[in-house]
Amino acid sequence: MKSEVTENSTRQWFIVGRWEEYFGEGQTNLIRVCAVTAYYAVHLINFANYESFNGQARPASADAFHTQCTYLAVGWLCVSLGVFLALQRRFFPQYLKYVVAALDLLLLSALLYLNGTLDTPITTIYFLLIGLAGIRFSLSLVWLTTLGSLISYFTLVLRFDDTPFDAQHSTPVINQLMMLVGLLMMGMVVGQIVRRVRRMAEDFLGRMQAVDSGAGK
Amino acid sequence: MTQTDPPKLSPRFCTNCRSLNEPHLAACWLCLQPLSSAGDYVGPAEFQTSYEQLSTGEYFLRGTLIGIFILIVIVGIGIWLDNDVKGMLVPYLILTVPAIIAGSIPMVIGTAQGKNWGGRSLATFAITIAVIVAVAAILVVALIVAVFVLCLSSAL
Repeated sequence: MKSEVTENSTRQWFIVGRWEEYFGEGQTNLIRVCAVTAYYAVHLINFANYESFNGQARPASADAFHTQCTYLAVGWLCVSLGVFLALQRRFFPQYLKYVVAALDLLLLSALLYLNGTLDTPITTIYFLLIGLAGIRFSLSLVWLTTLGSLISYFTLVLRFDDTPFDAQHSTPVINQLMMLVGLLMMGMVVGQIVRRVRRMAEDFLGRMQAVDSGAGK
Repeated sequence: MTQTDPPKLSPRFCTNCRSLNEPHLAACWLCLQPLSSAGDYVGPAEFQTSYEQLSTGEYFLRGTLIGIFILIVIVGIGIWLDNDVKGMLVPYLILTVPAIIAGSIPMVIGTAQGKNWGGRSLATFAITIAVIVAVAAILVVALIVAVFVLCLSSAL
C-alpha cells in the first residue's frame, strides 16, 4: 500500500516536473533570443561607430571579429529556431535540454576563444547559463552545466597561456580561481533551489490537506 | 466507384498525464508513456484544463517568435554591413525565412480559429508587440544615426 502511494507520488511528480521542464525550456529559449539580440545589437552599434567610440580607424581585426560574431549569432539563431519549432510541435525528448545546454556552452566558449582573452565581461555569461539550467528544474542539468562551464573556462585558460603551469599567466591565477569557485558556488546555489522545490511542494500540500480536514485550525 | 475520404484522426489524450497528443504518436510527448487507444486517466481531472490552456496558449512561444524575427533582421543587418560575407545574405534568408514561416503558420491558424486568444492574452500580446516594435524602431534609428555620424566623421 505504502509502495503504491510512493509510486503514484513519483509518477505525479515526474509529470509535474515534465510540465515545468517544458515551460522552462520555452522561457529559456525566449531569454536566449533576447540575450543574443541585445548582445549582438550592442556589438553592431559598436562596430558601426568604431571610429567615434574608440578614437581610431577600425582595424582589420575588428572586421574579422565582426564576421566571427555574426557566424556565432547565426548559430545561436539556429539553436533558438530549432528549440522553438520542437516545442511548438511538442517534440520534447528528455535529452533536448542537455543538447541545448551543451550547444550554449560550446557557442559561448567559441565566442570567448575568438575574443582572444578571458579579461572580458563575456565570461559572466557562464553564470547566466547555470541560472538558465535552474529554470528547467532539473538537478542533473544544473550539475552538467556547472561542470561544463568549469571545464570550458579552464580549457580556455590553458589555451590562452603560452606555456601552461609556469609563472607567466594571461589570466592572473587569483582571477582564475575566483571565477572557478564562483561558478561552482553558483551551481551549488541553483542546485539547492531546485532540490528544495519538491520539499516545498510537499509541505504546502500537507498543510493544505490539514487545513481541509480541519486539523490546521 | 465512389471515392471516400480517409477517416480524419483526432488528437488523443494520454491516459497517464492527460496531455493532448497528435494521432500518429506511439508514446506521449510529455510523460513518454505508450499511448493506448482506450483507458482511464488516473490523475486529478481538474489539471487537464489548466495544463491544456497553458500548453496551447504559451505566451513564451509567441514572444519567442517575435524575438526570433527581430534577431533575424538584426543579424541580417550585421551580414549586410560586413563586406566579406555580404554574399551570404541570400543563403541566410533561405535558411531562416522558411523556418520562421513554418513557426508562424500554426499560430496564425490558431488565431483564425479563435483559439487561445482571450481578452487578457490579446492585450498582453498587443503590448508585447508594441514594446518590441518600439525597441526595434529605436535600434534602427540608432543604427541610422550611427552610420550618419560615421559618414560625417569620415568626410571631415
